[in-house]
Amino acid sequence: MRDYTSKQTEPPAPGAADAAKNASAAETIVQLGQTAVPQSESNIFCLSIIGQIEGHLLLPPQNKTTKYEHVIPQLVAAEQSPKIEGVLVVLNTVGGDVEAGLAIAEMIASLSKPKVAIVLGGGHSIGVPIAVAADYTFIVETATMTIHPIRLNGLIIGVPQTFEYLDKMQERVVRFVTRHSRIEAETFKELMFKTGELTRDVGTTIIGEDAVRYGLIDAVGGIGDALRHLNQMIASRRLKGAVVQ
Amino acid sequence: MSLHTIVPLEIVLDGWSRQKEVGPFVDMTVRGVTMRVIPVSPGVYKIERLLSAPLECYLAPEFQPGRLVFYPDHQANEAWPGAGDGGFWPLPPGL
Repeated sequence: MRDYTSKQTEPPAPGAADAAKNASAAETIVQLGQTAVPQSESNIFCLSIIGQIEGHLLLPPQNKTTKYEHVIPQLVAAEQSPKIEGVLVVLNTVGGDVEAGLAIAEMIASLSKPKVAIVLGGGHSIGVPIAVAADYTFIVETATMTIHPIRLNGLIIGVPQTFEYLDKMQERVVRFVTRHSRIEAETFKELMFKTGELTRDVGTTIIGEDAVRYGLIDAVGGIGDALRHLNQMIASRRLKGAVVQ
Repeated sequence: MSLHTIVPLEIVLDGWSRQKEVGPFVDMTVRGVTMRVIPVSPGVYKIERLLSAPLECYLAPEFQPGRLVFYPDHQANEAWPGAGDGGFWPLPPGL
């Protein structure tokens, strides 16, 4: 049995204005042993895409997952909320469900607010279309992106229709990526079907600077660069709004 | 379902047969927020996911999956009985 009373040593900080807030925070600590992270009013919504992107099936609990049924309403809320002026997408994903990944990518791409993505660690497989969906994309120097073909899980390609189906699925990803980045379809497919690079699959792993060189990502940079760029975009959007009015 | 991932399928799907051990889930509605929760102790629930909620709840940190919520008098699967008696935490934003 967890002891929920063990963390009540910290008394709430005094302050008349925040009295109610502190009282509720103290109550939370007493009752739950936790409190909400202090909320600052931010005009940026940060969406992190981590682990496996979970689709229609609940993955076993050892997977860290990004649940699309939670992410999609979050993006709707971000688009609709007048307080939020920009979206920062932080990626460290190993890929996941094709449908869910493309759904998230399309949602990000169709937001009317400025959006910047940053790839940290990795943005692999179906994480690639999500990474390129933003208006401007960053990758840190050490991050990798694996580009490889879509497979039908556990099935052997037995009939030509199976191959055609996979080819169509593949085409959706290729088309999305080429539409939202500077990479050419031929280059992307070439990277995707390259042999001798990956041990278990055909495809290529591209690292930091290479992603920029291929035109997949816009710039190499960290969180500071990403936020600076997003804030610039927000400022110029505000300015444009002011001119229109 | 097509998984496009660099993680080998046997690792992703490992433990598939043990999935039943997760839960038991309880669906409850509190002032228009329908959530799937796992009871952890009397009155304390861990949010598994929001099933339907006002949009702003999806951005509120207190409604993120994994958070503990405290509804002392709540009867599972029943609407919250009264608004003014005793209060509860968290409230959907804007209420």
